[in-house]
Amino acid sequence: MKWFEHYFHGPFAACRAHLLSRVFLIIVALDAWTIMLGHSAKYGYHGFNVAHFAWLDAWIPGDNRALYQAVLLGCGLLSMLATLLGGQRFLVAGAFVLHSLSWSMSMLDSYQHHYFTSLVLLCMALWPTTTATLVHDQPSTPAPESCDRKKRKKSRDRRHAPSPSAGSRPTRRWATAIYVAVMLAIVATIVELDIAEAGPLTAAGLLGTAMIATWLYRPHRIDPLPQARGFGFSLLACTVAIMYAYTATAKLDWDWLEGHTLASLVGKKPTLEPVLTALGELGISTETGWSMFAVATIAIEFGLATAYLLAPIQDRRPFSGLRVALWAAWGVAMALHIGIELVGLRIGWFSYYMLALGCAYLLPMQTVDKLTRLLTWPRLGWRKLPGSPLSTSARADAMVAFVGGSIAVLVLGGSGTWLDLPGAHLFGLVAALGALACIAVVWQRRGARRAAQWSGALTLTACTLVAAVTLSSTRFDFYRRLGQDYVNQGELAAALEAYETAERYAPAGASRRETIERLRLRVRDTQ
Amino acid sequence: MDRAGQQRSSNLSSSSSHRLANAFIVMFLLVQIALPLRYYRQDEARDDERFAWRMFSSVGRRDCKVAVREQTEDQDRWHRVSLRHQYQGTWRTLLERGRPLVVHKLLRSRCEMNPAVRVAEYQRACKTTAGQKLPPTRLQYNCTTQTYRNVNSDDP
Repeated sequence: MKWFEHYFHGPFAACRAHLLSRVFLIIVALDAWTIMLGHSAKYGYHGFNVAHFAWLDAWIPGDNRALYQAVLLGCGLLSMLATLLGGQRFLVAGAFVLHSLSWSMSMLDSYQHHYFTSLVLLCMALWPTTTATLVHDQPSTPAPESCDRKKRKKSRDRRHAPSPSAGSRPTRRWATAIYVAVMLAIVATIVELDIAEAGPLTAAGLLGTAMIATWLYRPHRIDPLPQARGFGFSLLACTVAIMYAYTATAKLDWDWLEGHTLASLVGKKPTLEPVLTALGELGISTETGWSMFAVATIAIEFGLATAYLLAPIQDRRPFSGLRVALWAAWGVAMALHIGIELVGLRIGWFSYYMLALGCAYLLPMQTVDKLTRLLTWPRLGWRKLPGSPLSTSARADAMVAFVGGSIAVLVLGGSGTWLDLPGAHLFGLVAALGALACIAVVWQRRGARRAAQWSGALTLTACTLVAAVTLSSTRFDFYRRLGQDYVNQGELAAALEAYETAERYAPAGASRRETIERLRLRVRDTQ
Repeated sequence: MDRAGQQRSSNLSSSSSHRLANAFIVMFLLVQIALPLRYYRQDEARDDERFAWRMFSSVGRRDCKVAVREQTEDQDRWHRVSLRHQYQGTWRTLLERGRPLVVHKLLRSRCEMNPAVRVAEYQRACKTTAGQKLPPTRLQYNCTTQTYRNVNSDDP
């Protein structure tokens, strides 16, 4: 059983856990606030509901729209708080419970990736807690002056350390700042552009720029990368491998192998047409082309399952064969999930979850370390500023805790009204009381400094929540879907009211003015 | 003690505390492997694809038409239920996919909503992604005896 101990309890680069937990938790929060919330209109329709589990069905009311929304808002809150407070286990565990409740309370949410997200959160709750300081603020050990030049270079190469010619410390700080700025600009561009419209070339260009920036960037590090232990990391790798293996197995039927299912999934979307045309010029028929894509998907999924099983050992045995195989697996994983997004299959943010997992598990640790710098650099830079709030006196801590806590409680309490959603009142009340209790308990047990951190994190989370809900189209999506459901029920007055509310939150080019006018005429006719 | 020394000592003391963790790991993985296998062990129509990692499967992409009808005590005639007006669109999709828990609860709810209903029936006809017709399904719920019965397509 030595291999078992080694596999599940062996060390791995701490930056992997840090990168994945932060990115994943942020995606979970934004997914809940901006995507899932918009789908909550279908809950509580005529009071009919079927939960995923019979024991839960008895507990969940038929009219569960407000409850569902409150659970989603709470799940996002805990996820974001966990991100800002160092991935604390009880916060991640809380996010796991609320996320699991959100999908299991009704079969209206039958997306398998929500079940998968719950498994990831459960594994994350078993991870070691990592902080920016642990991952990137280790004291550096300069190479001894007496060493000869050749020996020092050999030592640096072995440890992937930067050469002295890379510049003095301030120069390297600028290099880090430029790297972070370039990467953030790329993320902002991708968010701003609709990749499907901008075209695969733009996406490939952005990805290429990101890879070059990461490759060129040499972080200031002399020590070996910090390692962490925690069986949740390897357990999650196994879970992902099991998922890929079963997903591939599910495709082993003739309808899939002959390409019929894939063709019906992609439908008439033009993404794959150029490839099919190119295959046609080589004498391969469209039917054979679909079949080839279908079989290749199965092979890719089985390959990725194997790669994830091997990934946890790469930091312990970094032999070149494994490294090359995992690089290849990373490329394939990126191509598969970006391809799914380009094709436009309706699977929510599943691709983004898988892209984050792929980067954290399959890339070499030096590359993951560089990517993690994007998350740790702002925090470490902020901490080092003279007179920063993170390095102040006890009195200032108490002031920050009090003011920050008050703002957080007010924003969370006020969100019940500002968000203008049926479940926001329940959420606002529970969240404000919970925040107040948390700050009080932390202040009493851990002191004003820790309470100040909690207050800051709660304030930032509350403001992010309000911004995410009010700036995204989630309320528009909720009310327009509600209006459509009322139309189907024949409740025209309620439908009109829902559409009029939706119109207040309509993004540019998505106005429902014509629908509202038609409904007004129909309501007038029925009166 | 230096960092490496601390790590060595923590390794020695941790092996005993791994027992509980190892038991959890084994249980977790067994459940992860067994849960999807449950789907493949079903004898009847494999319609419930939850927890089986069957994203984009051929079963989920079948083209199905469903109908629900009910028979009341005072009338022998069957009365068709308007699914579009009475159930949200996603429930109709789940009925088309033949999700057993949804079908069963919906049939039961017909009896609860109207005590005069004697029998509620669910019908489904599907085509595979290749366009091949599958045998139709009919399931009846008897409100009096509170039992389900699969009905042959030849039966009236």
